Amino acid sequence: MKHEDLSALVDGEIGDEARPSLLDALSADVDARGAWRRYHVIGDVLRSAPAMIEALPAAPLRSAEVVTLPARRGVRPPLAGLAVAASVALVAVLLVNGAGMPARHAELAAIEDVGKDAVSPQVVATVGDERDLQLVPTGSFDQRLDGYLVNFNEQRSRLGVPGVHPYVRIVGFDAR
Amino acid sequence: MPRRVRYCACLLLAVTTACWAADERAQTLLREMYDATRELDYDGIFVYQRGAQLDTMRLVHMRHEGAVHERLISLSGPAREVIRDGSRVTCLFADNAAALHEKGAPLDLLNIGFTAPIETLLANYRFSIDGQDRVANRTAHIVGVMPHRDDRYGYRLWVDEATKLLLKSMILGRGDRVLEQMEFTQIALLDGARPELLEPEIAGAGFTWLLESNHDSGDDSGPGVGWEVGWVPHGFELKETHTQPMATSRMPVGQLVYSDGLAMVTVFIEQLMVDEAPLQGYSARGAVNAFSRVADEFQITVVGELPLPTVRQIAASVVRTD
Repeated sequence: MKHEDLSALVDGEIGDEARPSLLDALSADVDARGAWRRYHVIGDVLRSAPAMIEALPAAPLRSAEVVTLPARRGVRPPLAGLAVAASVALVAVLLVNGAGMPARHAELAAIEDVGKDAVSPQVVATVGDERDLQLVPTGSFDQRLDGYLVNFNEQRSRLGVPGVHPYVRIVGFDAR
Repeated sequence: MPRRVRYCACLLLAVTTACWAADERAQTLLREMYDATRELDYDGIFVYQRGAQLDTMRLVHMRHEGAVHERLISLSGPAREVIRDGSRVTCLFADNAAALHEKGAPLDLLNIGFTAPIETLLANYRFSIDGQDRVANRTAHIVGVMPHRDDRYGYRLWVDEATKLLLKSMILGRGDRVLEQMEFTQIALLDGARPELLEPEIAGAGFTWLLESNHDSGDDSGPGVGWEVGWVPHGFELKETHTQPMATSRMPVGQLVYSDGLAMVTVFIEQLMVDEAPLQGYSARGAVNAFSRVADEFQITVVGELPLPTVRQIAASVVRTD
């Protein structure tokens, strides 16, 4: 994808007819997606968007922690990358079945399992942003909390409580 | 009546009437936004920010052959897509070579509905029109939904003047600090159905395919029953109570779900195993806070889109009744 096209897209200078094909090209181009993101961050900073600036860490994140935890004994490790516990109900379903617990709410069929030999360490990421926040110490951080958070988001969606749908969180999740 | 008093009374009446009119207009805009976001066909790119995390996504939304179809695509980070076809949702994760096919998935990929009529929210929130702004090169009205008390968060919504689509939203903490926000950087109405825009770009060949049936709210026995939440903020009502197995917990987990129609909080109750380390303390992700404590060998965790002191106070009020 040409950078001038990307730049025009960011600036909203592309007409309605050309936009869908450019968006498709953007979706397919990894480098363009990275550039797209950088342009927006730069744009936000140039516009002095206070929220964005506040969100960008000025120093290593005070409260962000990325820890590796051994897989729980007796529990089958989930698919390699999906081990990010906060991300998906999918992980939840896998673990339920692997643990041999009754999966009353979910009937799962794994047609082909490429995760059988997945590495067992699981990555858990937490990003806190409350200024007066005391985070749970890393050592006691637990998959349970991630499970609760996923469940909370699903309930919020199911009950129709407004907010960002868990699928947005799933698509956007990154273990940073 | 002295002239000055009469003047003040008239002024007060005028101000009150103006405020009421603004409230009414804000409520009308929210209703129109809800309808437009569900009914119109559109294709847009938005940025989603939560804490220090920033992601860019594309959303295609259209009604085609009587059903709602949506496609959500990550434009940053790992390649992921979610396709909604009526009540079926397929999640494609290229980075994991995995796909999840879910039936009976309930709502839109961006959920902006209200669980309660807007009128019932007036006891806890005030609605206002906070001016105009430009988002995605479109003129938008800013609607404020601010709480009467600081035991819950406020919301600010940017509603497109022309189409009434939601263009931007914020969840605001104390001092109007932004905790979470979503903002379209581009959005275009589609001229009729464009089914080709719903075709996934992630092929799915060689993926692990996982099928999940409808969610079921579990049963109403177990650790959720026999416990009582002694305090919730004004206007919060119990919406659900059930017990269900959870992947990340060894024992079935009791859940008590409360909402005031806009915010939600869930109390999770789980029996601790002898060899399990309990969770104790705070955690947060964007606007979602959690507080955990242990009571009678049970793990009590409250998760809510509420300020930390509120979440902690709810957790402290949970007592065993059996």
